[in-house]
Amino acid sequence: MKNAVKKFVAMMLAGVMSFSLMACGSSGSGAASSEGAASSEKAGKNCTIGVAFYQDSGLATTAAKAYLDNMSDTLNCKFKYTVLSQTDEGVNLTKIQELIASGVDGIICTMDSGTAAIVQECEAADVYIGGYLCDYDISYTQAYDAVFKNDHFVGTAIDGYAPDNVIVGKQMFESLLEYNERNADAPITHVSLAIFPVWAFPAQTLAAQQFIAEVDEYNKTADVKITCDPLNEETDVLAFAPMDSTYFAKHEGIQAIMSFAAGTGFVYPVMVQTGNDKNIKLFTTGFDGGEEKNFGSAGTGTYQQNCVTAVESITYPLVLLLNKINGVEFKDQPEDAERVSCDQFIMNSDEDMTAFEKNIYFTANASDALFTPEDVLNMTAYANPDATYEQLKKACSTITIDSLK
Amino acid sequence: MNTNKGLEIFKKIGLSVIFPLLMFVVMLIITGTNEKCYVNGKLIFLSGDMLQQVFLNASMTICVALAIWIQLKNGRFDFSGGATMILTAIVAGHIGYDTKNPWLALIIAVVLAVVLSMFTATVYILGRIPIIICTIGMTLFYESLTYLVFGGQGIRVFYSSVETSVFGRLPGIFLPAGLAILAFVVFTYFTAAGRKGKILSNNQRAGVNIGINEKKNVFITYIFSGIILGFAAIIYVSQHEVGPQSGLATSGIMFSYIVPVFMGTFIGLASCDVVGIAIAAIGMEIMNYGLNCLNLGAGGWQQIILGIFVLGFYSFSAQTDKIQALFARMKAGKAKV
Repeated sequence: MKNAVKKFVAMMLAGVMSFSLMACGSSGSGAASSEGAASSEKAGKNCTIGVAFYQDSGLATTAAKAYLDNMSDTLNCKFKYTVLSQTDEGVNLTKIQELIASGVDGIICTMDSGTAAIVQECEAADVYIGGYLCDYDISYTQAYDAVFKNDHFVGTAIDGYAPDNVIVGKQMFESLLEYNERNADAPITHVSLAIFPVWAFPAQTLAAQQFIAEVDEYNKTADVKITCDPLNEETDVLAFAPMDSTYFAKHEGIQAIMSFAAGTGFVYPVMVQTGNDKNIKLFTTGFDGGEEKNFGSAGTGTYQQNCVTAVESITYPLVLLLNKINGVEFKDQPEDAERVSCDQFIMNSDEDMTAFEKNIYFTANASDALFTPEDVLNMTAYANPDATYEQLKKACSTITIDSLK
Repeated sequence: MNTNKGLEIFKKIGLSVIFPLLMFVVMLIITGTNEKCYVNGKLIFLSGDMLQQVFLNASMTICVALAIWIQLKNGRFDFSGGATMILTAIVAGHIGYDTKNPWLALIIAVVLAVVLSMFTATVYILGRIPIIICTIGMTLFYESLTYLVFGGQGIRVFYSSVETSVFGRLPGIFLPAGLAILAFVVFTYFTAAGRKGKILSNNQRAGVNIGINEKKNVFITYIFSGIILGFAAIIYVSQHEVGPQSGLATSGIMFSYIVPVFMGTFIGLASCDVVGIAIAAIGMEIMNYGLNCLNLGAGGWQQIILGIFVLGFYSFSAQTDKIQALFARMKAGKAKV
């Protein structure tokens, strides 16, 4: 028995000696390790960020995941994903609590639902939270102090423009004019509108009013006038259901629908079903995939405008979260968190669609993104002390279709 | 004798079409007296679009309603029909779009729906679990597959392509709808399983005791319900974009077509259940179109109106025996006088 103990102790000692020798022998790679340490210092703390999407599939979600996952190694950051409820605040709070319990250091949230309670939870757990694809208008107007003044809320990158900064109506009118210039022999002279209810999307009603004002202004001097059917509360407001098939009878003679609501899901199917996809054009926000087959001069040519916010705009809350997690701030960091209006990819010609089809939003291929992982790392305050908040904001909010050409 | 037979047939036809006719007249009066329904002086309820919409929507409704009813009349409440339809629609839609061949999509839809239905039947028989639990489990399983096939993106472009969506438009839609009705008729009137189904639905134990092979009945019923669901799937994917589903959402899709099933069984008393369901579907679509004209086609008011109408209809139909007895008494009274 004694012999066995001696043998065991001897083996252990021999093992310790061997490891010591190996450590001495590997002094050459010490430099590499310290380089690794330095590079990891540049990459920031090892952290995890949870991303709560408002839907579990679709082009935007798939592309955002591809974009983030590709940055994981460079940023030294893992990403966890969850899906929020579009109707239930309680569910959303639970989903965020689950993310916190799973050990995330930061959260990117795509819905303004129960936000004050969510931010409170995050503060208690010392987890930072930012927004993406959402204007956080309810929080902005009703709980500004609890959300935007909270140190743990870093701000949000909006899916388009804030309700106090609406330009979609003007932009949609410009697309219509561009179409008419290209088709001077058969211009669109009679249009109608489609929006979601004002209580859910106030910016869409403002955009529709803006469009009507633009048409009125244009008609003062135009030779060929454009008729826009007045916004009808009962006919043109889609209650989150596809439009009535009687829409076309109620808007007799229209040549195009300007849909500020998601036209692909709520307008186009009815156009197809009623056989109106060949004689009526659709200018709409959003892009779900598949529209390119009937866009511009392709297929039935129904779609003449689509627009989406670049997936790369998620970089805004991501960088701000990484800064917070690493305990740094930009020198010009504003005191309160901000909501940042983002320019959109506006596709209103074949050339635009061709350019868009090469972007990560469409391909879900991270190498097609406008920012590389190194670009994003260089936007952070800890990896690049010269980086500023204004630079980050500009980089994320001014991505347009021209950025892809 | 011949005159009596002719009168009987005429009576059956009259009683069958009275529901959609009444519905049409009522909606015509309501829309005709409402200025919202006039555009440039024309009553939009009477536009050609009405007929088109009624037939397009009723065809889809008939297919799903028959798929629900074929199981119900055999004593089974199948929750998995919607998931079978959606999964089938995604697969058939992708293959059909890739090959630009709607006929191939139609065949794939029928074959796959039958295969999935047979799988459900096998699990039900081998698992020896109650049908509701079994089909809810299968629904969750099929729904999870919608996230795995074709990258979890569903199918978005099939319905918007003119060359692939022929079975979602007129007149192509009449083919799958007609074939679904034919499959139902063949099963109900020309197979032993269809005839025995009535006994099983009334008293399953008694049916088994008198020698009905329930397992065989289950398989044959599921084959035919699979065929009908395949036709429903091809219409669905030709009219809608189909996304991945979860949380029994597919059961919601299927049961949104259930109203004509119960109305149809009552209307069908005058003729047969398949005619009743088709007539009920057409009647309901006329009502929906009228509500659309009144700008009540969606939202809370539509639900309230539909709910009250359906409740009233069921309440009335539940008193059938008493109404018949009243008529009989009145007839007997007249005869005495």
